[in-house]
Amino acid sequence: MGPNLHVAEWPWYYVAVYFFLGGIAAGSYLLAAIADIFGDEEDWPLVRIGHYIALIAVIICPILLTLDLGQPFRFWRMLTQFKLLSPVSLGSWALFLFGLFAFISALIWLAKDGQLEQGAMSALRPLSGPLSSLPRKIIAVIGGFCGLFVAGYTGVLLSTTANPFWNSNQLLGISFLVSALTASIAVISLVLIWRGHGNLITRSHFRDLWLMMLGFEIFLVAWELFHEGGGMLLTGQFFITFVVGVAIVGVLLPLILLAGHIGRSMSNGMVMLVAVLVLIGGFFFRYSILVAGEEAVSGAEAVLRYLLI
Amino acid sequence: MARMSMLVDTAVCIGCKGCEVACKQWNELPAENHGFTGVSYDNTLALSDKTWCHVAFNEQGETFNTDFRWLFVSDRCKHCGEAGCLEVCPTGAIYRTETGAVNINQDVCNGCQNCIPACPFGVVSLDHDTGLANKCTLCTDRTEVMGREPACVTACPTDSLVFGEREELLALAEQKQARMQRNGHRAEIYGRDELGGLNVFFLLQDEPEVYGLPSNPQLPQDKVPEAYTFTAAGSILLGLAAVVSFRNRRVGREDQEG
Repeated sequence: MGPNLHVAEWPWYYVAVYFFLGGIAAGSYLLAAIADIFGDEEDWPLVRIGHYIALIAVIICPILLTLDLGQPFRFWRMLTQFKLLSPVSLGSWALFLFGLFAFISALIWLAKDGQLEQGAMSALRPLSGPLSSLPRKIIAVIGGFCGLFVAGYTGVLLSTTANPFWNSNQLLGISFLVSALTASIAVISLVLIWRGHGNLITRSHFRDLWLMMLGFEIFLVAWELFHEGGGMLLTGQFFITFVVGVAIVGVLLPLILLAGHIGRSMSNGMVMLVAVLVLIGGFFFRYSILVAGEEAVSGAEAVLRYLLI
Repeated sequence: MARMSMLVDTAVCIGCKGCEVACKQWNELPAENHGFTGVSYDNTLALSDKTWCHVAFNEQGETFNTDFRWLFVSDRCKHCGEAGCLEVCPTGAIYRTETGAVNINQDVCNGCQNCIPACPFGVVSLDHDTGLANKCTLCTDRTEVMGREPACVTACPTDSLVFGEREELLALAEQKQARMQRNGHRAEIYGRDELGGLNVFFLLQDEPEVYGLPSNPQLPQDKVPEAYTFTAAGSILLGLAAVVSFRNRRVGREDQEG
């Protein structure tokens, strides 16, 4: 009999949703930044959309994190410390900084598009001059690094606890990062199609990048299943959420659909289908890991193990 | 101030639960409705936000047989020398007192709960009334302010719980261990070196697991560099792939145009 470990009561509708949205915010920003720096003007719709998605998602994240606190009005206490060995401490700072850069980058693109000249945002018009003189790409590089941290630290946070289900997998950080990127490509694709820039995804190298990242993800999903303690994901509700929801629907099926179209163009409908599947997988990845970790030490089986000594 | 510790000598514990009650009284912790568990004579079973001290009952051997024995242990926060909860706390609410105890400042904690899975002993708990994390304080209000022993130690009728300077207590534990071994009993000191030395350490008569203690407790933060390294290595790989993807396309397009 080991110790009767306690679990953090993190409701999935705050924490798993935050893991998911934070990943999308960071992933979209990263892809937009890379496309901006290494691509050309034809990539601009993607860059623009990536930055806008990042801003919208990053506005929701701190709200979820604050609601999750026992005393929400003390959220600011997080920003009174800086602890290198505490992923939650560094993560709070990274999210704060990332939010700042996501805001500035989105404003730069709004100004660039002349969106500050008209409508509801015309109050910001005086800013458009100074905004366009900011070093856009340098901001994107710094913001991108903050984003990288935001997308990955949540996995590191779980794998550096005393919870045996989480701490037996040191690849959770990179797993969450990859899944953040594939989910971000999914959201960007959906918006690209909606805004009439479907050609950027239906016939492009961007799709090959998606395929490659999903290929990487399938190994990490398999590792999660087969590492010590991962067998729990083959049982109960996790068979549905992880094996079906993540491995099959979220990674394997999109991988097959994308691989089947290598070198060929893909219809808008097909891209949208792949995007929705990837998003389902991205959410259930975080949901399954979070909830399985909690159940591993507090579920009926764990209690029974304790009672039988 | 000297580093203060508590020795839990399981060999002389009689399972009276006096410490459990004294803790509730001093810390004004309400009763919990545990119901009937059927586990020996123990309905409390575990530490919680309302139970900071718990006497675990372990029965060994067959009832009515001569080899039957009770193994009791009075359990609480170990006030680790290297504490996972303290390392992870992002608000600075968890701090070390001048005598070495690990406490949670209830005016600073914001209830993020990261300390709860950071504890390898299952000690830190969420208080559902305040939304904050809480646990045993090693009665620092009594020991550091009033110059008294922790409430559980004062209540203990068999001196299974002893409070004092760490060095003296370690010497006492070794003395007791030697005497027990001389008389043919098994005796192990648990918590001398684990996690930087536990400020609540034990004299055990069996494997730590029998008492609900992990045999090799680890500081969760020891894994932080490793976890970040894997993530960074992977992200370099992914970043390169993305960079190459966008560059290739640009170069490809420029070739077409040129």
